[in-house]
Order: sequence, then structure tokens, then C-alpha cells
Amino acid sequence: MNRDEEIALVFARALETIDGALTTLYGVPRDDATKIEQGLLDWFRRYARRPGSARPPSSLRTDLIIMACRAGHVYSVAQFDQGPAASEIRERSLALGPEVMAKELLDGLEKRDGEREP
Amino acid sequence: MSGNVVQFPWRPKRLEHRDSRPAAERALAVPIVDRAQRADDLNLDDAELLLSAAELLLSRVQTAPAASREDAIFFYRFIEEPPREIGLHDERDYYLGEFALIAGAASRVLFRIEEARTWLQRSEAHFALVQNANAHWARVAYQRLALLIEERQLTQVLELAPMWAITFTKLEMAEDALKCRFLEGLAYSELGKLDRAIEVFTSIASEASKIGSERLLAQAFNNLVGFYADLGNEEQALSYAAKALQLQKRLKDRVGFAKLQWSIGDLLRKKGKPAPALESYRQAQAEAREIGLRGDLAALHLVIADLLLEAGQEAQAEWEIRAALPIIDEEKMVPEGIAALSLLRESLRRRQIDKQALRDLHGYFQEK
Repeated sequence: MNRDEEIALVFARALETIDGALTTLYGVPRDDATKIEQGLLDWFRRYARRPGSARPPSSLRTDLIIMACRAGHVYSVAQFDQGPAASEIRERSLALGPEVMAKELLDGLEKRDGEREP
Repeated sequence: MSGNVVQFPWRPKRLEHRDSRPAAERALAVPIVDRAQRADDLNLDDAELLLSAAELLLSRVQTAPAASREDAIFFYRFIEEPPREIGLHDERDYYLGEFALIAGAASRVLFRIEEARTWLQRSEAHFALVQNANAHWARVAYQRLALLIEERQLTQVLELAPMWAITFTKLEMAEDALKCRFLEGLAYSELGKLDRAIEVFTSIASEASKIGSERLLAQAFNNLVGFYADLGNEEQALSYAAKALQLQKRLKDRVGFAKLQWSIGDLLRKKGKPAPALESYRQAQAEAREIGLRGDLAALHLVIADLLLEAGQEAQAEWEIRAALPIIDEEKMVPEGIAALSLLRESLRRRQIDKQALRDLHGYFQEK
């Protein structure tokens, strides 16, 4: 497996978590969530080619999740005055900020990884 | 909670990854004066193209520093003014930081010290806003360490380079960690501790080979040629020269080739062979001139002048010195060599070259 394929695999494995974060934690509608995810994949592929990212692809997952939360946060703030009243979950996500939300998601992913190991 | 409506940065993708490299090469082939006018046609604001352009320019900093510097400055200015939306999320700041870093690194190689410092400050400011900023700040710090070598702040380099090597290792950036060890080895050589320098570079060569970095391996061999030449160990110097040359040809490393010819010139001179030494220096000089290595070009003029003086060719030596002085003035090189420079200039006026001043002055350039 080459590095590009490894990067795609890291993204694929994190996609379910990212999708849940965007749609549930940040209240992003389905269509827009898909567009953000496509953008995140493009970004992540380029990000992995930066000279400061010459690490094993699996260790770039943290950066991907943080950026996904930042994207959700920016989207949610941008829509704040336009959409329906914010849900409690979305209010919490915005109040805690993307870094804290990403940490919660990463803790969940690490727990899941641990459970999968034999 | 209330707030202003912020536009979410949707941006359509234009170039595919596989098309970005040829597109970047095509853009770089267009003369800078015409490039901005053809921005749409060349996709200059496309994130894929910019990433490939940055990769290409970074790989050319050593081999074509003058062109890399100009191209990096072009892209920096293109993104910066008028402010353009580039890519997604942190990408605009990343590209500004990256092109500023390349401009800084190329300026350093070209001995434009003040300019390098300013570009590195710009780079650092932009990198503050990108994901994984620590890794990019560390890359800026490496360039600053390399600048300290140019400024002969060797004690500082010996203290800081090993610290940064550890930081890079923790950041899982093995090649950058090795580059810091390079600076440590160079500082030892500058201090005349050649045995320590050889020890460091032998270990670097072994490590570079392990991680598969041919570029660093070639540079390590090149430095070992110079050290063994200084010690008068012809056999070892030539053995490393053969290894370095093979890699340089494969990598098209013209800077490395110029430095190798310089080291071989030194070796031949030490062995009492002035004519072939001069030939080697001339090859190095021609290469340095062509790729815009102004510091090396000035130093080689002085080294050749010294050799010509030894051979009793005062007039030609004077010509070489007169060719070096404007470059030294223009680039504000060797600040600590100002006394030697004044002595040399004075002796030129008297038409009686001060050999010690000449040696002192080119001694300040002997590096890398």
C-alpha cells in the first residue's frame, strides 16, 4: 500500500466519526455535511504531502479530526442566525470549541481502536 | 448568542492531484513578468498547483537558489496581494508560510542574510495559523540555525542544533533531525575540530542511508571530502568524492557539484598541484556563477587570487580580487571580516596585495 492509499484509508476509517460530528454535534444538514467531508478529504490529501507532515499516516488522524471540528464550528457559526434555534448539543459544541470537541472524538476513536485489538 | 453571518469557505476543486505537477512545471516555465496576467489559464490560485509548485521550489533551493527565490517571492506576493482565497481551511496561511520559508532558505543560500531573516519572520507569522504549526516553526528554526552558521555564531549552533535534532525526532521528522546534525558537524569543522566533524558526518551518512535520503547522503559525502582534503588524506577524500559525484549526477545537484570541485581544488593544492587545482576551482566558479551562488563565487575569486599570487601572477590575482569585492560589498558579506577587507582594499590601492588579509578574508568564507 503506498502513502496515498494509506492516507485514504485513514480518512475512510475516521469518516463515520467525522460525519457524526458534523451532523449531530454541529447540526450540519446532510448535503452540506457531504460537501464538507469531500473538502476535508481533498485538504487531508494535500496536508499529508506538506513537509511538516512526513509522519506515518495513522498519526495524522488527530489533525484530521481537529480540522473536521474546526470546519463544523465555522459552518455552524456561519449559519447561526439563519437556521432554526440551535440544539443543546450544538450550543455545547460551539461553547466548548473545536479543540475540546476533537479531543472527545479522538478519545472515543482510541477506545474503539483498543477494543478492536485482539 | 448572536453574531455576524460568516461565509463558509466552499471552493470548487479544479486540478486533480495527478495533473498538479505538470501544471506547476508549466506555470514555473512562464516568465515571472507574464505569469500573473495568465493566472486563470495557469490555475495559479489552485491549492493542488500551489502545493506542487512549493514542492518543486523547495527541491531546487540548493540547486537553483536564485530562481527558487524569485519564484517563491512571486507566489507569496500573488497570494498575499490582492488577498486571494486559496484552498480550504488553513491552506492560504500554509502557502504564505511555505513560500516565505522557501524565499528565506534560498536567500540564505545566496548569502542575502538580512533578506533571509525577514522572510523567515514572515514565514513564522503565517505558520502560527496553520494546523501542526510546531512542525513548521521547527523548520523555520532550522533555517535560523543555518543562518547562525553563515554568521559564524558557532557556539550557539553547537548548543542549539542537538536540541532541535531531538525536537525533530520527537515530531517524527527524521530528515530534518539529520539536517540539524549537519549544522553541528559544520560548526565543529569551522572551529577546526575536524576529527569531531568527521565523526558527526560519518554517523550522518550512515543514518541518511538508513532512512533512504540520497540528498543528505550526497551532502554528507561532500563534506567528508572537504575534511579529509583539509587533513591531506587524499585516499579517503577521493574515495568519498567518487561516491558524492555519483549521487550528485543522479540528483542533478549543482550546488553539491560546485562544492565538490572546490574541495578537490583544495586537495590538489595541498598536494602541490597548482595547475589542476586551478582547473578545479574554475569549474566550481563557473558552476557557482551559473546557479547564482554569490557567496561561493566571491570566495572562489579570493581563493583563486591566493593561488595565483603563490604562482607569482600578481596581475591576474588582482583581477580576481577586484571581481570579488563588489559582490562582498553588495551582499554585506563577512561582517567579521571587515578589517581584513579594508586591509585588502588598501593594499590593492597600493598595487601590493596583502596576502595575509586575502587569506583572512577567504578564510571567512570557507564553510559548508
